[in-house]
Amino acid sequence: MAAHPVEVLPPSGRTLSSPKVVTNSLLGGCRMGLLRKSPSWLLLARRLSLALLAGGILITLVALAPSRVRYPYFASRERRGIWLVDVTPETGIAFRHTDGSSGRKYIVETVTAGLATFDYDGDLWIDIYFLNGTWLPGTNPGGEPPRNALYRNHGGFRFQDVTLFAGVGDLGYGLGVTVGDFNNDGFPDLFVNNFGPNALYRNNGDGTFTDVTDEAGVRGGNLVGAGAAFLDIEADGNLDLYVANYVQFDFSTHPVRTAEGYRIYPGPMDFLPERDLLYKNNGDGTFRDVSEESGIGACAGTGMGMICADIDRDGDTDVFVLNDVAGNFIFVNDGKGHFEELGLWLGGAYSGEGRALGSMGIDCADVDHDGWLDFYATSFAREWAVLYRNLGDGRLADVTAASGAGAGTYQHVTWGAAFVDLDNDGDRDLFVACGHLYDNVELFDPTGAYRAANVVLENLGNGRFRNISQEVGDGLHPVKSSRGVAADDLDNDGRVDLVVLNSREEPTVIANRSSREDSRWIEIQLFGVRSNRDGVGSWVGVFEGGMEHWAEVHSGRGYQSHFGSRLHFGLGNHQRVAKIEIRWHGGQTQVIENVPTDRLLTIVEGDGAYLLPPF
Amino acid sequence: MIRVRWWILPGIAALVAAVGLVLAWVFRGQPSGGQGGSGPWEWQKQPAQLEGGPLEVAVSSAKKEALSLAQELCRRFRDDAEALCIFGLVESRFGDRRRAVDAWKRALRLVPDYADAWYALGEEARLRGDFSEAITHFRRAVDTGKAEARVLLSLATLLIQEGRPAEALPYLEQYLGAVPQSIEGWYRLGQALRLQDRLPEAKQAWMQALRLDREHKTVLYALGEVCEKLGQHGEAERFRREFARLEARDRLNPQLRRTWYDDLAAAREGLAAAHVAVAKFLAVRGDWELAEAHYRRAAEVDPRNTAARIALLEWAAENARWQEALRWVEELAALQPTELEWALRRGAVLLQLGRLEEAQSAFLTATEIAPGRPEGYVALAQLMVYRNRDLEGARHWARRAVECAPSAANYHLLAIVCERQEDIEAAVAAAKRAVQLDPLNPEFRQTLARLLDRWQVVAARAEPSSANGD
Repeated sequence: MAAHPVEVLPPSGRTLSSPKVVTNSLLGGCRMGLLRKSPSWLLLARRLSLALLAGGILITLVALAPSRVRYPYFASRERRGIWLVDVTPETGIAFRHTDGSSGRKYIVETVTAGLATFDYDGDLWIDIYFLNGTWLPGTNPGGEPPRNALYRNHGGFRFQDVTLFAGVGDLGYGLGVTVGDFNNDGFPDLFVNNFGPNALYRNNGDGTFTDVTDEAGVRGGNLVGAGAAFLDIEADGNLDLYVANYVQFDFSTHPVRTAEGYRIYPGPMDFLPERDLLYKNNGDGTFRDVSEESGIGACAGTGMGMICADIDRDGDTDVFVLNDVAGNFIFVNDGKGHFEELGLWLGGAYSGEGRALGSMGIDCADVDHDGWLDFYATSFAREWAVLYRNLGDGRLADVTAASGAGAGTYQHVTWGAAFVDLDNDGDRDLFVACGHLYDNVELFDPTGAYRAANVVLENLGNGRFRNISQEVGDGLHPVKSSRGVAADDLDNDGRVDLVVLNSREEPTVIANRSSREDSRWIEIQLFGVRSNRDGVGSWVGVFEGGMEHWAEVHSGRGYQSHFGSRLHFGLGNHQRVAKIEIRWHGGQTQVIENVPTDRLLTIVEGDGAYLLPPF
Repeated sequence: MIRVRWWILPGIAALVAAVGLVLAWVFRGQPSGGQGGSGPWEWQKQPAQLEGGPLEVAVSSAKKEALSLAQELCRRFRDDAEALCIFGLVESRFGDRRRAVDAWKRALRLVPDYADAWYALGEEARLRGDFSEAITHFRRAVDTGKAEARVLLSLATLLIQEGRPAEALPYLEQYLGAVPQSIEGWYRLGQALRLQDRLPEAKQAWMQALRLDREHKTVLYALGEVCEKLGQHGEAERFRREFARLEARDRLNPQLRRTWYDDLAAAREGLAAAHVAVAKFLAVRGDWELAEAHYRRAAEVDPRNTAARIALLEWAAENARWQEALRWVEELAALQPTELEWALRRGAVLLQLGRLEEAQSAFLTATEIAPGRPEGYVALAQLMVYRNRDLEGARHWARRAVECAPSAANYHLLAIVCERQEDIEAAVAAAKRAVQLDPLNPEFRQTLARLLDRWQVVAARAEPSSANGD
């Protein structure tokens, strides 16, 4: 800016003997007087300093700004492809997970915990329920005991802690959770699988829950829990309950393990396996333990994540339980609530090399549009997560190498996994939560990391996946030791978002800001009448443009978590859906035709479909 | 004189702050492993040795010894690529991965086609999960033409795991040409063929692996899967049942469960490996005395280390220190009780010590370990001939040797035994067979000539007899 010589009059009005040069600064209004003319380098330095000062202030403001300010370009222009944004600071979620660790390295500390996303109050906004650990021997208790937390979704990624009001602040050592309307009153209930006595919370429909564990008969004893799931084993319209258990653990027999001289956690092989539990719903608010008579009790394992799904598409629900460093279980249902363990024979017990992996979480989806559910199991470090392709008759084949679905997972311990169509192109992509269970792993394994970035694998639609973790925005920038992950449309914009529970830290909430171009969608909520109210076990097929998209309603999935009660389908550029076919778990089939996209659809069994207006 | 203007200090501060903010912005939120967080768990990052437990102290001590060993080697042999490679291996095992990588890279600057260094870099990349880089390094190792066979297998395995079976096949064929008895080689070949949907060939490769080890669970699992795919359900079930049986057996084995966490054993193994590497290095450079000391230390540190014991056995035998050789061979036989060689070597050493009965017992053990191999029978027959006792027994063993391996040498041995028994007819027949099989061997021809001299009259009148010494 040029200097404009201005005559400055002293207060007395007399002109000074030496001319003063007044220069307008960049800040506008800052006047600087020079008693003599400055050299040019000094002028340059001055201007540079001021420019840097202004630039530094600007950068600071932007860096501290919320994401929507940080990415105004993308918010308005909608970046093409998958784009995930970390919106955690804006959510108001203050939950912080604890595993109760004190340095004694109890094995239970490594496996907490899962989380659930579900609409607990029926306002069509998906809420979040976080599990928490609690104090263990050696922990120095102080202040409020840790508890689980329920956050109500107010839209726009704003959440409110309603735990105490709702009455679901369980004080147990939370490991797994599932959601299901076990009494068919239209309100989803909560089951928490703890280390110690479990808890069943009945949803009262008024924003509160009641602990009905003892009344229902599902307290379960002093076991180390794992995943859990509601399922209807006989298609009688009532949701039964499968409870996986981990190992037989007792504080008094806890072994000490070291690696390179450093204390580490013991592993499942240091303990005896434990049997899972199956409870039959009596239809009157109570359950009966049918573990032995159903055949489930014949097998003891080291259960972790699990999912109930119709693997062989014979109309009933089977159970796939991952076992940690042991062969996984696939309990095949005969339709009458009796199960036979056939994991080895169906190809899902081990990796393709016949190895029992340190299996953690599992999800399923029809990855290749052949109408059969494929499965994805996460695992320990120096092991790939495994993609099992369903060969069409319930038999599974490890296609990890051929598909690239293990990319980015080898060096990490992987936990929660979610098949979710992030870009609404019709193919299920993968989100994988990562983080080591040894909090001191860097001391003895330089390739390991306690905190690790999560992984996103894009489904290319040709049977292959591509690791795009470095290209999806700052949604993967929070680097923590992640455990459970839940995928649901939290802001009802048709793009599935993600919530990650991180061990010993705050969770991560990730908004899906993927491009809206050629990314139509439809979300379907089932309402059973003869079938169970949530439609658990029912199949939905969406037909468009010659393509079939099939999905099943599950309760309990991923790493000891629950999400996706509302089915989401990405539809590419299709404006309308030609047909939606629902195969209710009770056996009834229903067809809805010519449905517009970009909407939430509620389908009532035997009645009709109700399109909700856009949010 | 430069006057300090009032705006200079804030200007400098702004400059520093702006640079810092820019850097923070650039690197903000970049995914990185990083160290564990702060908080109440910091003390856990201290080595457990602070607790004073003997296990932790022993492990820490082993690590320190290995690291100082490697450092001393590099100090003595500066700018030696092999020394740098050894240093890198020890550092990667016990110390700092970055120093290990630096060492290997320095080795490659000295010797650009140093295959072991390329392999080490490849392994490091593989453990990090950077398979693309690992494949590149493994390929460089192979391209030097000096890589050990295991590099071919490692490269092929990675290519298969990356879904590139066609590229893996040539390496596997080359590997199996060098190591035809490698179970893993055949397994990986089957894997590569399976990925290409060449199911019958995959099955063939896995069957070959199974012939080498009938209880190899991975191979059994693969065969179960491929038979199922081929519609051979009965076979598939048979393989899967066998797999399930072995898996259940292993799960009940407390030793198998425990060794997964044997921290001290792992540390000792690493330390012993370091000593062995240094010993080999020194031996090649002629410093056998020091090399022997390192081998001894390796054997002392790791009761399961075979490499050191083998080297010490060879060294003791070469120097006719038979009592010491006996010690090492007995330790090897205890470590590898199903290994034929140690039974044979033990017998040979006992012979040298004049303990003939024990030597005979050792050779008998060899025949029990490997009843289908001729070596034990040969040794027994030779010993009995040497002792000139139980020649009928010697003939029995010589005959067994011929049955296992009808080679010229074994026929010759049989001829000698028959001659000792004064059964010249049978001896001649056996000697003739030996010469037929190896006509250029002068010893066999001399034996035959000598026997014919003794039999010249008898042979002219005798009926044709069996060449098998019956």
